[in-house]
Parts: sequence; structure tokens; C-alpha cells
Amino acid sequence: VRIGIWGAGNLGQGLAYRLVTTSFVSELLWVNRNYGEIDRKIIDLEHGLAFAPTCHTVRGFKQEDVEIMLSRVDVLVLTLGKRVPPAGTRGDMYRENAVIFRELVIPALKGKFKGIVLVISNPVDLMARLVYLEAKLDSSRVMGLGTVVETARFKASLGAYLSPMRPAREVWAHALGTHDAHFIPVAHPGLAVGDTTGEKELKELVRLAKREVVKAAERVKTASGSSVHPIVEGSIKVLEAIAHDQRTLLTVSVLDPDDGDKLFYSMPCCIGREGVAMRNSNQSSGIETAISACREQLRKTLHDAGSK
Amino acid sequence: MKSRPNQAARIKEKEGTMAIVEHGPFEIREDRERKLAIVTFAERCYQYRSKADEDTLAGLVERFDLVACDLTHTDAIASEWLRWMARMSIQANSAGKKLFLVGVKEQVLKTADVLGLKEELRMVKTLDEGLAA
Repeated sequence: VRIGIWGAGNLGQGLAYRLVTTSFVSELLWVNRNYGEIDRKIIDLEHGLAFAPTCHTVRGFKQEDVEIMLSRVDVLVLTLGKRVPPAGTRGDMYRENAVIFRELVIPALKGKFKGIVLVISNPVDLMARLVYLEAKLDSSRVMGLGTVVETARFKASLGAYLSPMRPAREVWAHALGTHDAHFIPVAHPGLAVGDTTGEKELKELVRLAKREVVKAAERVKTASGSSVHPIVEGSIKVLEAIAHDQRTLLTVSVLDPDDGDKLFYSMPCCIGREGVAMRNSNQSSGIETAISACREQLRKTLHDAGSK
Repeated sequence: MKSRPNQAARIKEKEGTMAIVEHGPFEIREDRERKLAIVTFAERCYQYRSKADEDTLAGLVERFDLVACDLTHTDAIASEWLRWMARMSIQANSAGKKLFLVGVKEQVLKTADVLGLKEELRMVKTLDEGLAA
């Protein structure tokens, strides 16, 4: 598939270099407000294409030509925007990034773009909602990376608390809700083959693992402590699911069709060629209560940002 | 107490061949009189945490009222060990016992902080301080 990246921060760059080594990308198209930041990197990437499994073209675009790029991509990944300010609120960040999106992204998406959008820019749940509402795309074609990253970090941490230790892939657990400290960790006894941890102790381990995940998310706020690796890998997993029509369950941030404010947050979703094929909204009452709290947090952030 | 744990691995000559001798991640000293177990961790605790290691430490929490994880000599430690200490600490607390870390160095403290365990684990400067608390 042809993947477009918009943005060239730590994440945009990390993703570009990772994408050319995958076996599902044919073309990588990259745009950034400051073209000078990507032009030499594109040549660098081109020089490595002899070793790429499937990618045959890497192209850079100036921002004024973004619509040409968008007419050619199957999936667009949005990484542009301001970093989470250490002392700032999510409302502040939303206000600033909404301005950037409304000025640049939304008008461009209203052109000839026919693909799927994966939003990584923060606050991701609200940015995905903004793209959906204002670019007027079908809800199946817009998703945020959401708690895909929290799920990965949560599984990695939890696996290391079990006896014997398990790699993340062997742990059956996930994170739902919002991509922030309020996410909902979900794990039940029997979360790994042969594990005998009881319900009470597991609750404590989930608490410890959640704290680790929140700590990791806080590190993203500082340049020196940036932890983009699971974000890049999580994005790759979502893009791979789309490219190969895998219909894999991933906790991406998607539209809650029953919410009056058209909120986006993470639920287990089936991801394939058409984007969001299905959203699993059937959760236990305890999780449903926690999700209501997440929705209220999102509404509060929108309110703080003076937005609707 | 035996000599303190050595580096993770040491090369030893044996009958003309070179063999890598792994040293354990920790050594245990039991003080039955004080119902105390002292687990002294290696200077560089890179070892994989095995099921046997986990069972050994869990057994100490079962058998002793106090378990002291001595990290006085530890400059670097794999995250899985700190996580296991946290799990054992929870088990000790729920049984009305105590597990604490002694002499945690700056680097290990940073590792614990990244894992969100700095506030979770009970840390003291000396063994006596831990016993008195």
C-alpha cells in the first residue's frame, strides 16, 4: 500500500524509517511544514531501498503540494502538531493542535483524498474526532492510535509481574478508553497460559502495571525521555492490519456512534482493508462505568479548550 | 555470609577450554533468630529471572517475617527483578510481614522510577533502619 506521513518530529521520522523496512509498503510519501527537515532524509531512505522488502519509492512533498500527495495515498498517518507541554493541560494542547489541523489538515482532506486516516497527534482521541467531524469522512476511515500503545506497554509490564515471566505477546490483556492517565486496564485471571494468579493479587499487579504505563506516557512529554518506540510499532501494527486486510482486533480510538457529542475513544475494533470493520461495544458493567468516566474527561477537555 | 555476588559472568579456564560460569543474581543469608532473610543482589544483576529464583524469593516471604533486599552493591539491575520485589512486597504486606530494599543506588532508583515503583517499594539506607521501622 501507499502510506503518507504528515509530520517529521521524532515520531514522523521514526515511522518513516520503520515503514520502508516493512513488507507491506510500496510507496512512502512524506510531507512536512518545513520541507528542509525531510529532503535529505528522503535521499537517505532512497539509498537504502535496495534492501527494502517491498518499498520502491520514497517521495517528499512541500506543504503546498500536500493535496497531490493525498490523492495518491491509501493511508495517511498524521503525526504533526505540538508536543504535550510538561506543565500544560490537554485542553491547551487540543486548542493549539486544533488550530493547526483546521488551518492545514482539514482543508487538504476535503480534496481528492479517498484513503484511511490514522491520527497519532495528541490529544489523539479529540484530534481523530476533529478530523472525522470537520473533514466529513466516513467514521470507518478515521481512527486514532488510541490505547494501542497503552495496551502494548500494559501487556509488557504485566507479563513481567507473572510467574514465570511472560513476553507481552503471551499476555491476554488490553487497555480501553482514553489515551491518557485515565485509560482502563482490562485483565482477568487466566491472562496467560498456566498462570494461577488469583483475582485479588491480579488486581494489585494491574495497579502496578497501570502506574508503569502512565509513567511511560509522562516520559513522552520530555524530549530527552521520549519513548516513541512502542508508538511507532503500534502504528506499524495498525497499518499492517489495514494493508493485509487482517481484520485484527486492536484498541484504536474510534467513533462511539451512540454518543451525542460524537466522541472518539478506544474499544476493541476489527481493523482491515476498509478501516474500522467492527467496534466491540459489548463490555462488562464495570468497564462501561469506567468508560463513562473517560467520556466525561473528554467532554471536560473540550470544554476547557472552549471547543465543541 | 558468603562473599558477595560477583559480576554476571566470569570466564574461567578449564582443561584447556574456555567456559562461561554464570554467577547467581543473589545470595541469601538467613537469620532465624530475628526471623529475617537478607537477599544480597549482584553488583550487576542482568540475569534472567527464572521460575526457581521466583520460588526461592516467594519462599522467603512465606518463611520469614522480614525480608531485606540488599542492593548496596548493585549498580544496575534488570527491570524484572524490581517488579518481582514489588510483587513480593505486596505478598508480604498482605501477610502482615515486611519486605524492604536496603542501600538503593541512584541508577537503580532511576530504574525503579521509570517503572513507577519508586513510591511503591519500601526503601531504607541501612539494614538497621529497616529493622527499626
